[in-house]
Amino acid sequence: MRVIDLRLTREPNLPLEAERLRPDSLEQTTLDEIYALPLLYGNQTAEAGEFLRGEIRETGDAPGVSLILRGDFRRVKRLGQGMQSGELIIEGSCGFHAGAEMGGGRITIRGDAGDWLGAHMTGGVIRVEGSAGHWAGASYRGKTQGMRGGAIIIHGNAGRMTGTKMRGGLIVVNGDCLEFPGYDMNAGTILIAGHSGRHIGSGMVRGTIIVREGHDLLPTFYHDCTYQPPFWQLMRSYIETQGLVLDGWDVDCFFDRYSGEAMTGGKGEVLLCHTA
Amino acid sequence: MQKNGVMIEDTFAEAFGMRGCRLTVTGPSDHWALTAARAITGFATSVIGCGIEADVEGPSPATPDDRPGYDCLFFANSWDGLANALLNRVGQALMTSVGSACFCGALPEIAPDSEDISPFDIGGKLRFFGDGYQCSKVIGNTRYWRVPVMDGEFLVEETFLMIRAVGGGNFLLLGPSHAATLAAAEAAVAAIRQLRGVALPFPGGMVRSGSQVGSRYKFLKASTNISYCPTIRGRLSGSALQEGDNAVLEIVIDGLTEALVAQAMRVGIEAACACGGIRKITAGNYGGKLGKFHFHLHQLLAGDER
Repeated sequence: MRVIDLRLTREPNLPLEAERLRPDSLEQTTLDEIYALPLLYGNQTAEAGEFLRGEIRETGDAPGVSLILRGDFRRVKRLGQGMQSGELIIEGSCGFHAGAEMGGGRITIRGDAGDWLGAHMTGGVIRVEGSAGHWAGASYRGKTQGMRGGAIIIHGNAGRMTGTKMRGGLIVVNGDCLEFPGYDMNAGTILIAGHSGRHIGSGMVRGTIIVREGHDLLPTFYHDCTYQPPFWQLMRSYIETQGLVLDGWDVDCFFDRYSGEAMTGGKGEVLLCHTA
Repeated sequence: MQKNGVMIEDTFAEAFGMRGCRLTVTGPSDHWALTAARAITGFATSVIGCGIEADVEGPSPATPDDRPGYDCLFFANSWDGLANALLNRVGQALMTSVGSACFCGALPEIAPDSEDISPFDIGGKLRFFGDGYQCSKVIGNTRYWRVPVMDGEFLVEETFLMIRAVGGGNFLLLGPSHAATLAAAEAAVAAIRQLRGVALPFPGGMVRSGSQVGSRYKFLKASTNISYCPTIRGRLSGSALQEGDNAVLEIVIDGLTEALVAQAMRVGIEAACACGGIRKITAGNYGGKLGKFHFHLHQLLAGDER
């Protein structure tokens, strides 16, 4: 595997748009070529080398590229945007649009992620060890479909509008989530292990939102039954394989199933976990 | 060749190319998982009359939903034949079984990129039983269908895997008494059932009514294997039995690969010989003209399993 290890040597004063920093586009690139990559810096263009320094090393025979970025990247946007393969590890926090439109590969963010994390993503896995901002896995304004595949695993909290217009895939928030999770959701699964803000699944057409019991749902959700969904253990195991153990969410959990939202057809479901 | 005093005839078993599939069936308890597995593998002894051959392979080492489960093997003559039969069986025998779920069984016997593997749809077709209230759940890269049923949901994987397999491996045990022949056959079945990837589709793993191709009746495409029926030995000029051969039982083996069938035959024959009490072991063939796979008994016992 080719490991590209870069450290942020100068913190940008203005937003730096770094969509060119993705592992699958750096398979043949030399360190000097990486330093020469043009990045949008405010309303100017800067070279990546003005902010980054590092090394390239080969480890093992495994194919692919592992791009490691060290430092505080909160003012750096679009890291890993559109990536299709490889591994991106951010040893720190990152800015808006990380992993947006990605189709494959794996992003690990050791700190926090900004807004629009994994927006419109279609595949791959994003794991955030801190918290994420608003609109994770959502669609950009004016678009009809948000995240369509892959998984976003957030160990901390998430902001508002998580999974807006989501069309597939999985979002797991181990902590709390602000208002409107699953707004206008069309398919896929959102699991919120902590507390969720108001208006869960507002406008959802299909899909599944799993939350702990004790949440007030909109009156447009109907209670169906209390049961053990057969897919729960599969989902739980999959989340564990992605490095997150859900504390208190047992194999034998019972769920209250609600259908909704009635205003938009009622084909979606909210599962309130009973025993967590 | 003699083995433990049992004569091994210098002949071969003739087997055919089939399509095979492994399903993992789970349930809320071991009892219900086994009930579901027995239901879905029922009436599946021979493609001649059942269209499919099946067997409960054994408890699953690991099930996707961590519930008790059993692996089941299915074999049929064609891709369409197996796909249609499994669609009916999952729908009628498994979905009806309390608390059951159905998953595509793992195929460690086959390389994942093998050209012999082809996917086919079960869950994607069965979902319509949900009458519009069905929904799917994609977990990882796998799509599952959730069909609402009266005890909750029936969970079934959308796509299953079919492989090119081998069916019809066999050997016959000839003994002086019914009891002695049955004891040897039971020993053979017990030994073969320790293996994975092979199915013994007949009741108890053995068949007493072996068949021959054709019949004196035009409407019948298979009839009793007269050469091995002791009660008519005296009437036949070409009986394969000798004086003192008073019972014959046949072990028929389907397997996911040729090597697995060969291994199962060797293990079964050795167990039957170790049990003793029988006079001879032979195998059924059609002169080598019909089946693609030939399992020579002497080669198998000499350790040459291809």
